[in-house]
Amino acid sequence: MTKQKKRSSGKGIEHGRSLSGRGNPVSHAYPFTAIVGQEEMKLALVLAVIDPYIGGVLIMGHRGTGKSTAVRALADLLPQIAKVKGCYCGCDPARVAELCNDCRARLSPPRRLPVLRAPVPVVDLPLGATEDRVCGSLDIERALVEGVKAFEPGLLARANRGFLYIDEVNLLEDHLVDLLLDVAASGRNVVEREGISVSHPSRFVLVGSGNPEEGELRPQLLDRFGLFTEVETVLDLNMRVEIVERRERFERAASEFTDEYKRQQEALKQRISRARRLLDRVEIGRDMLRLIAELCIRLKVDGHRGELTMARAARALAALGGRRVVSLDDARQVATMSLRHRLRKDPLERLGSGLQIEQALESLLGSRFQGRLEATG
Amino acid sequence: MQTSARESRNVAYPLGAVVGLNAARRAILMLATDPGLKGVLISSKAGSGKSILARAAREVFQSATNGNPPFVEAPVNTTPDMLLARLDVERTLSNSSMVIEMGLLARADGGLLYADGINLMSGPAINHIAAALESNLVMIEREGISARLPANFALLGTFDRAEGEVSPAIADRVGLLIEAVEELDSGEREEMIRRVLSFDKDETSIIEKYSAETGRAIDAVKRARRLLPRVRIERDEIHNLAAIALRMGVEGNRADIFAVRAMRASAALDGRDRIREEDFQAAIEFVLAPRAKVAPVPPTQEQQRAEKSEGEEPKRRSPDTQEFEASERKNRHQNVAEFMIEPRDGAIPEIQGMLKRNKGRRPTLGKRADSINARAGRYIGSTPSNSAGARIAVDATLRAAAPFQKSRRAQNRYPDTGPVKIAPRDLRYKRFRRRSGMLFVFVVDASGSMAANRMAQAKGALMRLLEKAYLHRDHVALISYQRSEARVLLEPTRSVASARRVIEAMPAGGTTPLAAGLMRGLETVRLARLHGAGNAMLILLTDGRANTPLSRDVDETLDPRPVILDELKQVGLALGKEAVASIIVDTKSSFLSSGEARVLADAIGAEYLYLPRADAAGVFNAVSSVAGELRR
Repeated sequence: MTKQKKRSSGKGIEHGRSLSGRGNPVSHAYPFTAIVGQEEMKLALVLAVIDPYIGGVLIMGHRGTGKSTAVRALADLLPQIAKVKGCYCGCDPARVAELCNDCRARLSPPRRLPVLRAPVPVVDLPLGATEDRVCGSLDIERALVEGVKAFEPGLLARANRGFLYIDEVNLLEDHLVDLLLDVAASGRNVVEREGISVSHPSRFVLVGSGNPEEGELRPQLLDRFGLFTEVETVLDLNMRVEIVERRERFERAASEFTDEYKRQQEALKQRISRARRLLDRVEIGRDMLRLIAELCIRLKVDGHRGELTMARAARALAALGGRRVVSLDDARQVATMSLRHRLRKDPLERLGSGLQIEQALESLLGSRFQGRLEATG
Repeated sequence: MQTSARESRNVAYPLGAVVGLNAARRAILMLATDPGLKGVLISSKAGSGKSILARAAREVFQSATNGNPPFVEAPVNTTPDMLLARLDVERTLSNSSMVIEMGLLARADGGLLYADGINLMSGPAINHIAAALESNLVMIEREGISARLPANFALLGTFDRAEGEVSPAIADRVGLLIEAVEELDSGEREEMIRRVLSFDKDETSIIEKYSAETGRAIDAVKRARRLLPRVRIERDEIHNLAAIALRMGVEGNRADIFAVRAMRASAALDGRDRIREEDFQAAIEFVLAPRAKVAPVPPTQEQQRAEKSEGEEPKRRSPDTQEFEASERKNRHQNVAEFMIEPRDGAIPEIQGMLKRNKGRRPTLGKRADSINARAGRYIGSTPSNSAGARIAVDATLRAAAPFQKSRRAQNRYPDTGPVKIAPRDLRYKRFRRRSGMLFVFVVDASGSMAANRMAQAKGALMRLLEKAYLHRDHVALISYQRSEARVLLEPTRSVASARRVIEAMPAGGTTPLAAGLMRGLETVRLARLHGAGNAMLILLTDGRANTPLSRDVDETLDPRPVILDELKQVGLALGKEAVASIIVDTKSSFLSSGEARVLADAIGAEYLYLPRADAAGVFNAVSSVAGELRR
């Protein structure tokens, strides 16, 4: 979706599509490893990168706590993947069954598709986006000039195999929520409008952030997010000072600051890609699965997305630590973020859901699982 | 309003001649010194010189910066299209390629965005401004336009608090928050009158004085900008600021960053490269104190926090002198905090005046059963079917016409329509959606012995409504009245989190100005409707006592009841005109009740519900059933 159009139509007027390929005008993103505190949020994001099947992360919390900073910093940590060259939705050449129509057409007299390596995309779904830009629509310009009915891909095409980030997710308009839920469930974006008919793969990891005081999230959308992390204002004084100091240094000399963190960034990147390779070989014992299942039952979690997410997140955490077997600690660490948003809500309940989950887990461990799990884990 | 005469003369009333906006003036100079402070919000009464300040800000900003930075004004009725970008219809048609007009946010890049009455701007517009403030970018993905444009601007927002608060999304992303209600003493008033009169008489002399002063301000800002990078801030100074932010319960960590910047800008402005006490004070006054959340902190939380920060401090303390200084600072800051936090919601609107106003010029609003329509709201899509008053959706029309251009050109059947051949059947009309949820305003009588019960019922019902709020996009608000005042405890919200935070302890006792509570409710509805709320309902929980009239000049020897009832009738009329449904929930137990609440309901024209032992569920059910009828 980066076809550059060489045309400037005069002062103060810029054409949308010709700009989108130009990249981010802000050259340096704040480095992920320079973010102070907010450990749960950072862990959740890293796990979501390691295993896309976890289903993404929702970050809710106070304003000014680094939510969007962290998500924007994520792009730098993402690995390179193989894509079909010239494909607008970045098809995976290894998965023939999921190719888009264009790629399939190019493949049809059996040929090899050209391949290139490119970073996993992070696509912003900004406030006020309209449906035609989200799912794609008729390319007006080509239609006007050439009289051709061409498809102009939207954000869902760009986000395929990558991350779709929605800041202020609780302000997202209803009809877009419906659309996203639809595509997220099927993994394909089907466009039937203005005389065009296109279907292309759109598998993306949803990352959302928002402030709970701006309003609630629809339960269906909430459930879509694999992990849910809550961020709060950092209350530790020294950490607060550190936050201010780092931010100051970053704003004064961004490139020097990012250089300082280069080594740490590189190390984390390495760990993540090692974990991605290891992931398929990490085992999760029967007892551990049982523990997770019983935890979900005890907490009255509806559906099965809770236990699946928790198991996957625990596995990703084990992989991150370079372990072949999921340990009790892995499960413990991811329990809250996997289940927090799936508990039945009592709006007058003042006990945080995090605490409920921890209590349930500890009491389960106290009763039956302790001995067995320690032995295996 | 006060400025209109001057505006017609097209001469700015001099900045130097404005009396009593010192804090605002200082803040504007600080912002001009460091635009990284991202903006100033100034709250002051109408007619206290905000617009003069804004024009002065423009002058200082533009003269102190090279390259003539833009000054862009965003009017109160700004729409997302205006902020982001929109299709330039004429040029698109004549060029036969899409030409896009940049919106206000991108145009303000590198300069100042000025929004007067920023508290009255629509929610979507506010959110776009907030997003741009945070990322210094504007991201557009709408109606065929896809762009990322730099939008690094500082915001100058002014508003009158009596008309509602500024959205916290904006307030959080802007560094300096100024309360400019400096009450003038009689001497200053005299001075103000003298200056205005002399300005009326003789513009030039005072303008000369003014330009000298503005010139000095511009020079100071220029110097300060050069000095700014060299202002040294010690870790310890950051530490002290952060400690105060912590104690004040300031939300998020952005405020700390702004506070340090404010401190630096203040020092630079005074030509120093070291921080002094007054810079520190400025940071607290303009950045931290207005964000303080810890007015009456529940003791446990306070203790926890204190323990936490205490735990850190011993490690950091070094020489005795420093410690002494720090504690001295602490004390002084605490005073600042106490001073700043308390009054916030103390301003009681002049209810009497409001009542009078209601009879007069207010437009009558119809019933707001709206959802998707052809006229107004948010543009969500297009339709080929035309209905009365519908607006043409150019983008969709172009899309519909586009595929046929080649063939139409070949046919030559549309000779005179310019390069783009559009047939009637291509026309598409805009569809809009207006938020169609309801607003439930609970008005609770917080006086008397059963106040706590009523409050609990209202809270319970309110939380239940919120649970379902996402279904209908409903909002709830909570108002209590007692003694001689009515307070908005919870501004219209659909957030469980903020509702839960607010509905805690409630004072009780005193007499009952029922009409005040209702008027406050009505005012809340009106403000919410400016932001797009639809149907609204007032739910009044009371035992029927209404023993204080609003009017203060009533003969106290007479029975106040006729006055009260008369007032309530007026309120009832106002509610009716504003299309607000109302329910009175009578909470008095049966053998004590002699039907006062019923009389009130009749006076107001409200629906009457007798729920003496109403629990939250009862109130909730009653409210939902009425709401169900309204929705239909």
